[in-house]
Amino acid sequence: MTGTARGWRAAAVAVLAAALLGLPHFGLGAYALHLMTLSGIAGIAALGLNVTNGYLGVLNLAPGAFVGLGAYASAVLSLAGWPVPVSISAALAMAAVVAVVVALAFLRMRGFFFALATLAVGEVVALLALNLEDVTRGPLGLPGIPRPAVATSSEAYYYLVVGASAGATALVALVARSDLGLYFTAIRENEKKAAALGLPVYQFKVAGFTIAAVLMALSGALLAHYLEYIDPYVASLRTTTETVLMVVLGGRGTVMGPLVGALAITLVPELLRAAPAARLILYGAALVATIMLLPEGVVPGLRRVIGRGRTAPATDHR
Amino acid sequence: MSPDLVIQLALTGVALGAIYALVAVGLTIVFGLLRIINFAHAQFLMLGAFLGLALYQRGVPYLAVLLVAPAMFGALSLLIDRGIIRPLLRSKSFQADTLLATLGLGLVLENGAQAAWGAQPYYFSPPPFPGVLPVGSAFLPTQSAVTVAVAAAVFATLWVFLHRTRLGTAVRATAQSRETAALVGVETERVLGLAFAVGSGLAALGGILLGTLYSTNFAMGSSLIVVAFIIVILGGPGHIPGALVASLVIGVTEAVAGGLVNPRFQRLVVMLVFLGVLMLRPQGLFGRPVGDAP
Repeated sequence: MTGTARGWRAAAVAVLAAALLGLPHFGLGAYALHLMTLSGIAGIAALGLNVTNGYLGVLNLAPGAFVGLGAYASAVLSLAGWPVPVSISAALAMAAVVAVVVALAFLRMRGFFFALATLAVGEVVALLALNLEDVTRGPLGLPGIPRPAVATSSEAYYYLVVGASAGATALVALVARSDLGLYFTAIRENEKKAAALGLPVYQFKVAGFTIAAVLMALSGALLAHYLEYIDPYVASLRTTTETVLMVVLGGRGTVMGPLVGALAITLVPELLRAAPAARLILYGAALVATIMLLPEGVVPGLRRVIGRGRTAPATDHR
Repeated sequence: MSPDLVIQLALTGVALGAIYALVAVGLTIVFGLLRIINFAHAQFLMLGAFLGLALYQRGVPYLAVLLVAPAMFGALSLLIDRGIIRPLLRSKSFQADTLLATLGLGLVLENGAQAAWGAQPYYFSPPPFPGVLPVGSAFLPTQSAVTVAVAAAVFATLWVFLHRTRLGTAVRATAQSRETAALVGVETERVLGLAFAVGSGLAALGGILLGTLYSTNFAMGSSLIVVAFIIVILGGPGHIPGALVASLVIGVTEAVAGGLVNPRFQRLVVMLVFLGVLMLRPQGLFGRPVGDAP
């Protein structure tokens, strides 16, 4: 990247940061702030999913599992009296442990059968949330989940989410630009060649899956403490589908893609004032259309337009 | 715990297993030929049930419905095959692409169905086969017996088709190697279309039988599809007899676990059995060793 391009990028990030931080003071209504908070939370899960689905090229359908796990673990622990930062940390640690176990058990499966196994893990989480009524109250859900002491107001929580998504973005950008990101891309592009060159492919996949799971769990925990309520629906196929759509729409294997996708998926149906069922039809149609017409996603597409034909290959994320 | 109850539960499980088998064999045929997982298979099942219901309510005899509706639906499914599946098959990442595209398609179909027909259940009325058959000291609803018989007839026909006809041989050859089959003159493109239509038709048939046994509603497919995926993987992807055995195992396990342990945990038991088997045999119970499949 040239010096001027770096300067432009820094300026863009500064403007974006100023806009995000100033947002509550622009006279935006409480509802707009609520939507921005939700899309930030969803964006964290999408950033995580992008590590496996985008960079590693491993089709992972576990957002339902890990968003659900993070939400329930942190909710239950905080309701048991743990301070919220501690309960969130514990939830992330739990997600990491579960992710390592799942990855060790199933990552040797071929291609997309791993995806179906992750889907079954999600089903297990949803079924546990639904049936362990002593802990989760089953389908009634858990009300009264406390907010962290530092962010009890909606505005403060918004800033918390902006900070968390910025941190998650920085983490993914760091991974993407490090040698680890390079190895991930090598595995995505040609797994056999990567293995032949001596890369510990399996270990890298376990690592990537775990990073993804922790970010998804963070998203779930932030959701639970924001809404102050959680029910088994959070672990459903719907969470998985929405998160997958965010990543695919924004652009697999790009740092900003999942965030753009999360914003689009949260805001566009609101702007259209779509009814819930119509919204899901819209999501489905968007998923089909993106895969068929713009498989690289919006961000690389935009980048090409802005770069005025300065054609970077779609797979190059640096 | 009386032995009668166990027999009763096992019979329920066999009927459920027969429906699972139709759905899973459809899925596994599509996988065996096109090497894709059709995520919208669940919604094909649901749409097939609504199509069957519409015909039945217009006075078509039930057994004719079981024949006509899946055939109609199979033919219709070719639109999806041509419009969505085939264009994606050329890409290097076609497995992920088709899975995600059909996931989106399923979302459109399911919520479209909800918009069209609401969330309420519909019933085949009057029931085509009311009454029960005594089996020893237990009782089997006649509809369950019909379900099992229909599934058995379908699988027998499928076997004869695949193993005793020229076209069936072409299908098996294409499943083994698309290139080699094409070299010896098989029109593989048409064989893939046939496989997709047959697979979708089986989903529709499973849907009609499920809808008759229980009820027909917009979400009936998605509540069953993860189990169907599990059966396909347990049986070894693309392996028809494997899918049959796995269906019966899962159907009976689910019914017995539901009856003896706790209905709330039956799905959980199935998931845990599945995940446990996968850890030990990632290629499924009957699948070829990992790395062997194309």
